[in-house]
Amino acid sequence: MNRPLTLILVTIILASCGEEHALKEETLWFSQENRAWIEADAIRQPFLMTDDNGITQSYSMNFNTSYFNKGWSSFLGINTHMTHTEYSYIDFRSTFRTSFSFSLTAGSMPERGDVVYAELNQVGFQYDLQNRTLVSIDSPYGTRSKTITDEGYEENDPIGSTVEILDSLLLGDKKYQNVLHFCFNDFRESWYEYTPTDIYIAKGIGLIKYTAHIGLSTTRK
Amino acid sequence: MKRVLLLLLSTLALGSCRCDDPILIDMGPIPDSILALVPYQDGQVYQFRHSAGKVITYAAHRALHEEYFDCERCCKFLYKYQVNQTALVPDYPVFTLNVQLSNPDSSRLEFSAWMGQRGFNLSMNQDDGNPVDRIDSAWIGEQWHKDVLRIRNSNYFGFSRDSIYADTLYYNYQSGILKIVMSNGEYFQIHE
Repeated sequence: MNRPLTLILVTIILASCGEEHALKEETLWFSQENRAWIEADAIRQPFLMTDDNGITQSYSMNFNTSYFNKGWSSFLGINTHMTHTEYSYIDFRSTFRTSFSFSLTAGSMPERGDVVYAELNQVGFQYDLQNRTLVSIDSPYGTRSKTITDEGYEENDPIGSTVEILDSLLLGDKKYQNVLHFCFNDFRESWYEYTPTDIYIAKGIGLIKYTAHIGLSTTRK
Repeated sequence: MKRVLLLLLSTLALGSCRCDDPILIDMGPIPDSILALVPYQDGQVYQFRHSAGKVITYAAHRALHEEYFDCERCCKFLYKYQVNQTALVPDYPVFTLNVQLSNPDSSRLEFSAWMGQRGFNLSMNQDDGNPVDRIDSAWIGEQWHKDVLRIRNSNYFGFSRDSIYADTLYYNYQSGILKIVMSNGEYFQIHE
């Protein structure tokens, strides 16, 4: 008689933990190597960019936040596993209302490392820094994404866009190290003249260059 | 008896919270003479040249709509007035130029221009916070323009942390926006 009672009591106690506690808790942090993509002081500073026609605009930070995303799994109403995933976000607006946002989410499993998300004028991409995989693209013309499984990423619709990390990039007299280069190649039939096609983001610096479909480049001063 | 009295008092108290319907005051149409202060025609295109040489074409979208103004609660009057809004939309990734006229009450005309997050008040009949110079004539965009208003941005309305913003506006009633000088010295001027 005592055993069922004990079991019920334990179940009630565990269930009463609600969303706050679980049998196992885990905190996922950015890897030390990737932290500088979003946490360097320079990232938050205002900056200037000039296009090929000599027209200059300033970019100012509009919003930034950092917190831990809570996620959990449960069995029979009991939270068995809870994760706190580190997340950081920043966005900018320019004189001419160009918008740029950038975020980093800590990796949640070996198959999924820290993921950056960057978006310029509504064209965005998600990239797994550890697995060097373009996870998804997001644009006004459509979205494409891969699914994460125990074996790694599975492609749903083939993504034509690419991401590469350049060791360095020379812009004028400035040399940037570790540059993320996104090349947008999907939904071409829907683009307009100024759809962003190439976005360059330097580690620890932020947005350094972008190019529009028409060929116009805008470069950090 | 007490209950009836209490009920009566409560009803009276609650009834006193009701507001009478406000009296609608229609400010009527914005006079043509005022509309003419903004020379842009809907559907027309206008050009501005950046100081570095790029010529940008803007399509004018001009429309009239009505808005209402009242106080927060139990207003005696509800004002209905017209807003005449012009947006010059560029064919290049720079800001849209907006000019707006409205007549929210009989004593004042609201006349403003804004681009990006900075605006200029063009109403000359009130202390609007924008330092204004009146210039007899100014050479802008390869020709002389008469009766030019030069308005410095005092961030009277709009707010931004942009380090580059529209700092000075040159305007006249014949040609509209003549020149916008940015805070870094670059400018956009009328190209005719």
